[in-house]
Amino acid sequence: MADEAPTNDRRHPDRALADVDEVTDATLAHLPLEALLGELLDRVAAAIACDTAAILLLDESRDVLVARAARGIEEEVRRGVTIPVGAGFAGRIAQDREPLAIADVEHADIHNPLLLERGVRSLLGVPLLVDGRVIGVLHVGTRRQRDFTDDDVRVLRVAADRAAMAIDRAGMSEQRHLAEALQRTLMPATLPDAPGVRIAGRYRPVLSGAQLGGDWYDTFDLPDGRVALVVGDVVGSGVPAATLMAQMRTAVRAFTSEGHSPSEVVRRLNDLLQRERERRTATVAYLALDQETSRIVAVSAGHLPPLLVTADGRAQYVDVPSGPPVGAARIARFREVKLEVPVGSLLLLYTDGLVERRNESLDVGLERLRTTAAAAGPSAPQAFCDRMLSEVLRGVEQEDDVALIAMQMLPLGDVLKLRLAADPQVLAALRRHLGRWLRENEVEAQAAYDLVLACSEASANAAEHAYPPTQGHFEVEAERDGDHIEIRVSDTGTWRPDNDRDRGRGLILMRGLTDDVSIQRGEPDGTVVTLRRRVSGGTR
Amino acid sequence: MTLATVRLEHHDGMPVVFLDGDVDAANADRVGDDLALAVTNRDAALIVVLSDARYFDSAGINLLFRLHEQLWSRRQRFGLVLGPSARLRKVLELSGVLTTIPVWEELEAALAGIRIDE
Repeated sequence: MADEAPTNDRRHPDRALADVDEVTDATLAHLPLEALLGELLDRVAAAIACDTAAILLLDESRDVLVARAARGIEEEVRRGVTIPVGAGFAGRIAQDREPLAIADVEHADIHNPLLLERGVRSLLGVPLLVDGRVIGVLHVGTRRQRDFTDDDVRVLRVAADRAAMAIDRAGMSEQRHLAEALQRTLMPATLPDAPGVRIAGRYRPVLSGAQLGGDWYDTFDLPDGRVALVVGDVVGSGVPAATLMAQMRTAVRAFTSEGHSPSEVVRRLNDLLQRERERRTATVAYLALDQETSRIVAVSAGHLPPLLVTADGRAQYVDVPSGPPVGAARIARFREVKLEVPVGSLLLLYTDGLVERRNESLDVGLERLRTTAAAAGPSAPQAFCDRMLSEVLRGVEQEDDVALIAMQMLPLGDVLKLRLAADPQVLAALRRHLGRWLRENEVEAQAAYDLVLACSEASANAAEHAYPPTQGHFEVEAERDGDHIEIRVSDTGTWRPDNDRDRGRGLILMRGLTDDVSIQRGEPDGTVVTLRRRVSGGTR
Repeated sequence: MTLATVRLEHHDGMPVVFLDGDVDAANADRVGDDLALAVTNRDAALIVVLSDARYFDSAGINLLFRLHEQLWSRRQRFGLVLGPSARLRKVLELSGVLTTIPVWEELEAALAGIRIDE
């Protein structure tokens, strides 16, 4: 690439084309993008004997071209030169989407100072196009004045095609890695651990081709001891959908911890999306499970209905009157619906990727899922989710992401055993677990209420007083002993002598709510509080 | 979805707090703050409606006694509304709340009664 490169030093046009074309060779195709673009520029520069060569990529958010790779003017990349679309040489190419040649820059509007500093006299550039869409510009320059030929343009166009393909592919995979990492990070790390409630979730991205979607599932403990189940699907794909999904997921948890009801949580999600600069929508199903009563409060924002699989081997969709997808309407009503998940049955939430197929009505997909679920029956949620994924999606190329969450209610059995963190926050859930066990053991309502409160009181002692702050566990065991219920609350910490009047009220309550309270203090530490109460109902 | 919800209304200028849900060691301080904030120095009395409350353990009971003492020392009156079938009745009885703090079965009666008390 000498200054005085004479015309006869240029390669034969066909040879030059072949050189550039080789960049698609398998040996080059796997190069990282930077190396591939560098190699491409070297070959272009050699093929058409020029002094500078550069690739600029379009940054759509700012409507500028940014230098990405360069030869002869490497500084262009280091300095991060940007050229507004429509301005200067490269800017005009991006705007007009046509090749442009300038024989002498002195008579032209050149935006890039580097080209002038390097004494470039003649320029030729072509747009980088993907499916007719401009993604950047490739240009070459010579210090000697030169009239570029049609052959030069042809070589440059081939190089531009190669570059555009490589950039598009690399960009997609970069975006995809990012979005996938985001998705995986955002799936819940731990699932609520409630006795008699089994929960499993699955997220399956599309493995090839299309970009990621914005599907997610989530499940967590609510402050009042209930359990939240969430599934949602942000409309759109790629990084924008994945990041919005992340915001939505966090927002659900935040609104929930502020104490809002399910319908209010969804209404606030709707408000949140209204404030987005671009109009974005998402479907969401939000369920709050009260494990004590097996009742669920459900709210749907344009989401597909939950599927209930009962112990008798039937599967049916639960009618949850749906509001519009969040973000779709400024004023929207989201109704709370109560549903019941009988002990032994399983409830499935899913995103449309599981049931929607191209050229098939949604009803067909829903029916496929329903019959598959009925055949599987209410089995363990993990296995159930895996089975739905493998059987419902069998033999089809998955076109969309799928998120699933399944919840199964199981009987608590004759003996209830709980191991709980010594933290007053666990008391609400404890009351629900014990309440459910007493109900399952057919203890009448007033006796159950009294026992739950007495046990909660004893547990508050264990949680608050038996340990230094935030350490240790305590255990609660409940069983029926003839016509009595016996509940033991045991901790291994040191019972602190308690002479304050307030705490004395706790013991009064426990005594008043049960027939017998005994407190055994262990040596050197540990305390067991045993509560007994005679109950009617339930024969055993 | 919080353990307890505290809703403040004013009836004839009198603060009335509807306290639903559970009060235990986890939220008693916070609920106590909410109740204390509901009543200003200008108010003659505070009425707390407990008809839809579910569980109160000793932390919740203590909160009622503390609030009663606070208001008493500021010469403000304190009354509770507890429906005849309220689940909380037995606990309040056992802990001596019913013999210490005036209790009415209906809000209307409480609003009238707490003024006559003057």
